[in-house]
This record gives sequence, C-alpha cells and structure tokens, in this order.
Amino acid sequence: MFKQILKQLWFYRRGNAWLFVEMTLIAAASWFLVNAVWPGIYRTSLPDGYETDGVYAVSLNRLSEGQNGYRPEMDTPEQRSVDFHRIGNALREMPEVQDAAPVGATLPGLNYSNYNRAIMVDTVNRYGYSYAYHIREAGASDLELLGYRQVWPQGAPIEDLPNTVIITEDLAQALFPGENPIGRRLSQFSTYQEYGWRISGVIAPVKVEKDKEYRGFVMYAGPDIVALDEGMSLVWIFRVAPGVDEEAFIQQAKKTWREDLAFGNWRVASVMPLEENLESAVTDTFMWRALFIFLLVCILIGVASFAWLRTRERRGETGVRRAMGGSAGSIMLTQLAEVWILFAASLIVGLLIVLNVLIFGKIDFCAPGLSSYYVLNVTKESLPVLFEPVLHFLAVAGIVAGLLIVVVTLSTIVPVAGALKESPADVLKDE
Amino acid sequence: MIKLIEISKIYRTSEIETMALDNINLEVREGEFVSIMGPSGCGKSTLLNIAGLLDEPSSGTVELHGKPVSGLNAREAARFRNTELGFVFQSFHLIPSLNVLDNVQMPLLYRRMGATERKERALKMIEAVGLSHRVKHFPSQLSGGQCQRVAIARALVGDPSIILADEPTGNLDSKMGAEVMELLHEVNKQRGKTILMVTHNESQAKQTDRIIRMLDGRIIG
Repeated sequence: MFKQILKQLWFYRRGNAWLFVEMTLIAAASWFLVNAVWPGIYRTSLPDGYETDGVYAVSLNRLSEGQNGYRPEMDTPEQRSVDFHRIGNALREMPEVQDAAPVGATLPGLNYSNYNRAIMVDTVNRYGYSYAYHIREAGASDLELLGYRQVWPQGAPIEDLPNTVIITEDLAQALFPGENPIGRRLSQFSTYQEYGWRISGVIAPVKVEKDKEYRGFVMYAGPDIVALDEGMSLVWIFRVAPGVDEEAFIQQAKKTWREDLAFGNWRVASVMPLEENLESAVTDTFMWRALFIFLLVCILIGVASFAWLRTRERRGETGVRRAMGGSAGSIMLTQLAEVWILFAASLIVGLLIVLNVLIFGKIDFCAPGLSSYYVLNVTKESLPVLFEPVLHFLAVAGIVAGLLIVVVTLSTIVPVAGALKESPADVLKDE
Repeated sequence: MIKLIEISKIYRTSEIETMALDNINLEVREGEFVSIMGPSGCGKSTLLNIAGLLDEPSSGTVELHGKPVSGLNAREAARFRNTELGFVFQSFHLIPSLNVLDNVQMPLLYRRMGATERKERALKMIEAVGLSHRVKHFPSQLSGGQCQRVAIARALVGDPSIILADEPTGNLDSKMGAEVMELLHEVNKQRGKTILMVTHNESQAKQTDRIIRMLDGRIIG
C-alpha cells in the first residue's frame, strides 16, 4: 500500500509539487510567526527571585475637570507629586504594611529612561559603555520590594543619600573588574552638564528596554520630589506585614481606601495582588502579536483550502475504492498517508530553510520579548525552552508541525468523510 | 444466486419524490448471464447498484447466495463486495494515477494479500485479457477497449462469483464492444461466473441467456 501511495504522489507530482512548495514556504514562514507569538505565553513569567507573595499593587487614577471633588489648584506637576508621595507615606504608616514603594513611569521606582555611551570613572572618560540611566523615585530601602536584588554592599543596606548612584553588576564588572566598587566615583559625561556621583550600591543586572544593546544600568538618587507629568500612570506597591490577616486587610482596603487615601486629586482605583497588576500591564506587544496570529490563521486557511480541494478532486476515487471492497478506514488512511508524506517532506525542508536563515543571518531568535514590566530578566535556568537555542528552535518547530498537521489532517478527513458517508453509487457519479 | 425481493428505491428531496424502482422482484441463477434493458431513466443502473451493494434500497431485501445482504453495515458490505462481487462500469473507473498492474491489484490490496501473491494473480488476469504488454501503462495511455479489459481483469482478479456490468460497451466502438462482450462470455462460460449486465445494445443483449426489460422502475418482461 505504501508503494502505491508513493506512486500516486509521483503521478500527481505537478500538483503535488505546488503543494509541496507552498507548504515548505508556509512551514518556514510559520516558524517565524510562531516564534514571534509563542514567547508571549511566558510574558508574565516571574523572574527568579522576584517574590510577589503578600505584595499588592494600589492603582491610582486622577480626578479631572468636571468630576466631583476635583480641585484645580492641586493639578500641577509639583502638587501631583506631593500628593502622590503622601499616599505612599500613609501606606508606610499603616502597621499592617511592612513596606511600600512607588512603581513609576518606566521600570519600578524610576522615572523615564535615558541612554548614554560614555561614562567617567573617577576622572577618566570611558567610551563604549552603553548604559541606561534613570532618576530614582524610590528610596534605596524600597528597591528590594520593587524587585531589584542587592549585590553590594554585602550584609548591609545601601546608603540612601544624595549624590549617590546605584549601578548594576554587569556595569560594575566592566568598569571595576574584580573590585568592590562601593565608594568609587562615576560621572555621566554630558554636553550640557556633568554629574559626579558616589557608588553606594550594586544590584543584579536589570532588564532595560533595549537589553541587547545596553549592558549597564544606572540609578541616580534624584531630588526629593519628582514632578509628575500629565498622563503618567503610577502605582504604589506594598508588602503586607507578617502576622497580619492578609485577606481581611485587603478586603477592608478595597472598601475604604478610595476615601481614606484620597490626597489632592488622586484616588485609589484598585487594590490587587501584584501579579494580577503585572498581567494587566502587559499590553505593549499585543497588537503585533494579534497581527502575527492573524497572519498565521490566514496562512493556515490557505493550506487547508489547498488540501481540501486536492482531496475533493479525487472524490470519485473514493467511490471506486469502495466498490473494490475498500473499507472506510483504509480509504481514509490512504488519503491521509499521502498528505502526511507531503507535509513531512515540506516541514523538513521548511525547517532547514529556517535553520539556514538563522545561522547564516546570525539571528538571535531567542530574544523572547517578554514583558517590559519587570526589572529582572527571566533566566535561562527558569525557562530553558525560551533561551536554549536548540530547545527553543525545536519547541517552535514542534508547534508549527502540530498546527500544520492538524490543519492538513482535518482538511483531508472532512471531505473524505463526506464522500464516505454517501453511497458508493452516488460518489462514483463524480468520477 | 442473486435475489431481489420487493425492492423499491425512492429518491426524496424537499420538493420532489421520485420512485426509481417500484417493487422489483428478480432472481438470477448461478452461472447465468442476464442482461437488463430499458430506456434511459428506467432504473436499470439503480437496480444494478442495489444488487452490488453500492446503494441501499428504500425497502425490500437483497439476497446473494441465499444470504440477505441489504442490512449489512458498511464494513461488512465492503468485505462482501471485495470477495463476492466484481464491477465493470461504463466509464471504466480506473484509477488514473495507477498503472494497469496496480489497478488490477487493487481488490487484492484490500484483502491484505501478500505483495508477491497479489502481483502473480494480477499478472495472470492481465494475461487472460490479453494485455501483458501494457502492464506498466497508465489508463491515459490505453484505448477504451483496453481500459475496459483492464476493468474486467480487475473485476475478476479476486475470483468473485458475481460480475455486475453497467453498460460495459457504452463508451466503446462496435469492434471494441464486440471484443469486450467476447471476453464477458468467456468469463461466463469458462469460469462459470454469474453476470448481470445493463445494456442499451439489443444485439448484445440477445447473446445473453435472458433479457429483463424495465420501464419506469418496473420489470415489464
């Protein structure tokens, strides 16, 4: 039977060649589309060491003109900042709250990101050290709550003083290999101003927006009050103190904080576990992923149509085989075997094309594009299937293979099953 | 051997009901060569399809070798067709993507016969119909008469007891038609096969043992 199937594949080689080429290109294109979409299911994976137990997020909204309680005199950037920090102070004063920290505009506890390629160590300019830098909104003592992991000093808290800077471990190793960098001075060279800062702490590497390009991360202790611009969406997070009835406290918070923590035009919008808040914040790549999924669906519909037509054209053959005594199962299997052989061949060739593109194009396909909301990277150890090239390639290939085989199988089964339902006499009329 | 008892076939749509066969009773004895004649649309092919388990009657019973077969499920019907029946169609119904040898072997494939035995029997049958020199040819490379001979070989390869032929010479010229008829007679006389044949050709029908005439879904003679 297998020989016969191969002979039939060869006989219809012209039509099959087109299907083969189409499925090969589709397998290759689907790999890239799935690769763009698939890491998204991990987008809310928590990085190692990012502890969220007992941590809650207080989302805020601001009253606007026309709303009941709105006070226009409170609607300046400086006043907004003052009122925002009053909320945080109120949280910190609650005995049920162990610690609270502001989440901020970009990464937690920080104002907007900027980038530079030159840094001054002590008095020497060093070039080629791309890094991101921010003004800190959170105190050094809040960093742990926000997910930043302290490396230096060891066994002591980071000093929370003006004109100090906290850098990441990768930058520290690049600038001060093998040394304890605490106390060393850094300046950020700028055409407009120079700043001198003393290194007060080193934290674990942080995931910046362009993490492939920028290897370091710098947080400057800024002024006490940072003016908040229009449209900034800010959140306070807090950790429930040990021994507190967490459920009861949160229930109470949801009922009363909209009034109790009303400062200026700020109002508490919601209180929810940090993990839930993080999930709801992951929207930046939604549109792209939706587009890729749409393209993938279109491609799969194309494959399904082709396979369906191909099977439909040979409907009469089903009647002949039944007249010769072929059972429904054997006829179905014959048709499926043909299309599976084609599918397997085109999948192999398609994946070989992908491999060539990845290898010769030196494409880093493991860049997962995970949520930008965390400060720490999800690591290879926690998600090897995303980061290990071979595993990643095979996992995506497996998804592509699974999708395509389901589509070609269904596109074959449905028309054949339709022909098998009818009497052989009726089907033979189509031959 | 073939017994059709009070067979009726009604085709129903939402608007129309068509009585294709109306209370047909028919018996064909073992070794008989019977032809069925009638104008187009009188139900000849429908009768043949029901006798060959290619279609189900709306009512009535089909008996083959004394055994009721009209109630068989799809799998049992397929097995019965494979072992007891052989079909020859007007349009040959050869698989275009298979060569002569593979077309003739097809019924044996579904018996799960070993490849060697299958090939042997098929070659023997191809030789019997005089097409040994065309074994590797495809249907598109054969004449109409040759295609029909391949179809006959395919119908016989499984050694069925009954051959059902639906206008086997309908698409052939007179010379080829005569050759095919000669082959069918040979199959009937020398191999003892029972043949039930639908035909429009009066002269060919007269060469058979019995003619059954139909009109408007009924046997009239």
